[in-house]
Amino acid sequence: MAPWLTWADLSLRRKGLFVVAIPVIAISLWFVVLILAARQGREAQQSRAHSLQVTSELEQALRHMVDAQSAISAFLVGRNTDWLAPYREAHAALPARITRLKGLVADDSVQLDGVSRLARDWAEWESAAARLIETPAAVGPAMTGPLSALLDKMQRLRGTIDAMQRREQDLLAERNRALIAATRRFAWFALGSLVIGLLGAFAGSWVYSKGVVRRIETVRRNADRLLTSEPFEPVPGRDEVGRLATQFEQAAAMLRERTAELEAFTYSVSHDLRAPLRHVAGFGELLRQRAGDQLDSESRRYIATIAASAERMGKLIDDLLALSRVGRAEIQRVRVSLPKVLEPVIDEQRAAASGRDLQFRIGDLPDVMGDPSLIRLALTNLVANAIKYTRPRAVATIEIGARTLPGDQVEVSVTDNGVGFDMSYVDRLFGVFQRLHRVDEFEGTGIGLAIVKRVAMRHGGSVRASGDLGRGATFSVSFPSAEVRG
Amino acid sequence: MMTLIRRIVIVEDDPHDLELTIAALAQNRLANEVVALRDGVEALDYLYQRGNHALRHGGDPAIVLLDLKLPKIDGLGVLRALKGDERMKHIPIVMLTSSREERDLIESYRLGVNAYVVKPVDFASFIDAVKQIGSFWAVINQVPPGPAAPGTYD
Repeated sequence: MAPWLTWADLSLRRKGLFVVAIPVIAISLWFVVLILAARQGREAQQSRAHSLQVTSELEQALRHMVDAQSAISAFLVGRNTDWLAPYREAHAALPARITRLKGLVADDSVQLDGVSRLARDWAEWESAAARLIETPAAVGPAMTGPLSALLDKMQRLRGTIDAMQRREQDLLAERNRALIAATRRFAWFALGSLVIGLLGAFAGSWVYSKGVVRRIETVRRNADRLLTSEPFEPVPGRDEVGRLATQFEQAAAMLRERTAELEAFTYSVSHDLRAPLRHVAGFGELLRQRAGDQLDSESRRYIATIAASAERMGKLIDDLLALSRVGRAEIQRVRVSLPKVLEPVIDEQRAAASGRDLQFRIGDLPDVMGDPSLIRLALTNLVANAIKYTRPRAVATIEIGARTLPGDQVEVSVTDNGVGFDMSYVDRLFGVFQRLHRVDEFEGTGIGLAIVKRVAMRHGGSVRASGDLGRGATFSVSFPSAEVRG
Repeated sequence: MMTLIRRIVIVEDDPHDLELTIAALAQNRLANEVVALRDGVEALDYLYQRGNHALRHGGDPAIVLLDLKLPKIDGLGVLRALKGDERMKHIPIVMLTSSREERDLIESYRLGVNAYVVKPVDFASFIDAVKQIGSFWAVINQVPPGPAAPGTYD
């Protein structure tokens, strides 16, 4: 990695890894802490159970010993061998208990010493007890010495057991304290890693949003600026987003260059092509004025044809420029009331076709979203067409209606009872300079429907035509509906 | 009654267009003297009475018919110079051009043009347009009193 590589330059995948890494590490840490805490808890439980076992074993051993001592004392008074049963029981049970205790405290040398002392003292006590049992009956002071020695031994055994139990309890208490401390430590640790994980996740998503999403938003805004010809906002970084923005800018620059070329071309068409045409018409007219009287009718017809041709070419240029303007115009998107747009259009067209019997039937027209002047241009062309191609009819009926199409589009249809057309030519209708009639039948440049189509396309809509030769035609254009359903 | 008749100035580089405009003015029988200028620099020299036109008879024209595309300084340049000058800004200027381009129209009005006329291809319409321009600006329209060309009293 080059040293000047900044965050914005990292590829999206690396950025994603970085962003995900922080919370993943923190959460893994949290998980490890949880496992360790669980293990320590289990160990604490085990050691507690162990301590209880040791204490209980010691308790049992002590009971045997005390019972044995009582048995000896009773026997010495009563000389009944039956009474020695607890003594014999203790004799039988204690070696096993001592062995078990040795096993239980094997890891603690102090307790192990205690067990050894216990075993030794018990053996001493037993041999002393055995001697007393075998000694012939003697009562009174003669017995006092050996018996008190036996009791002393028992006292020592009891002391050893007490010490061992105390130690076991101390150990247990110490382990409990350690467990509480460890639990507290683990809790802090878990809380810490959880907080780090959450903060990491928040910080990561913030950084990602700043570094990636915002720049993508900038690219999107730049795309809008392309349509309105505003300057672009710079997009920093050399990752995928940066490269996308750069490529987009290059494509946009090329597009702008082409558009500028096209504009220069149409400008030159508008200005330079019209001038010689005006001269042809103008000097033709001057010629007619100057020499018209002296020319024969054929020559005058030639001059009239020159003038008419020049005018027609002027009209073609004007229509082509109008078509080009529809393609270049900055398009508004506002709510447009179709009846309001249509009313002046119909008045205008009626005035232009004075003397004709025109019957307009206008249905319900919903509002659409779009550019009022372009929509007006499209409707003007459709209405003018309907009026033109109904000329052979005594009464022209022109119906204008609308229906909502799927995809929130409103289709406006203009239906006439005019000359119609053969459906096999339907594909040619919306092309530039396409005509289905001879110029001397119906005048026109063949651009009107191309303009309608381009207006529809600028709005994301479409055009449609259907007709029946001799019976009339329907032309439809669609615009986005103003009532967008969710 | 004595009427002061100011000149009509046409700034046009295309000789055919110039001839047609003069013919159209002639057909309308306007009494005004017509001055033809062929480029932007000459137009400014004439109006400011300098260079080749330093010795011309004084007085501001009734109207300047200005083409957009002109050699040296184009129509918008001439318009900018005249409308930006307190001394000249009252002179009516009508753009008489082939351009229907919206940006030309908008820029001309931004600079303070008095009217913008697209030359019609059809000669009858052209004559009609020139007639209306001439009769309105050179006859009907009133301008504040200023130096007028001497010797053009009726």
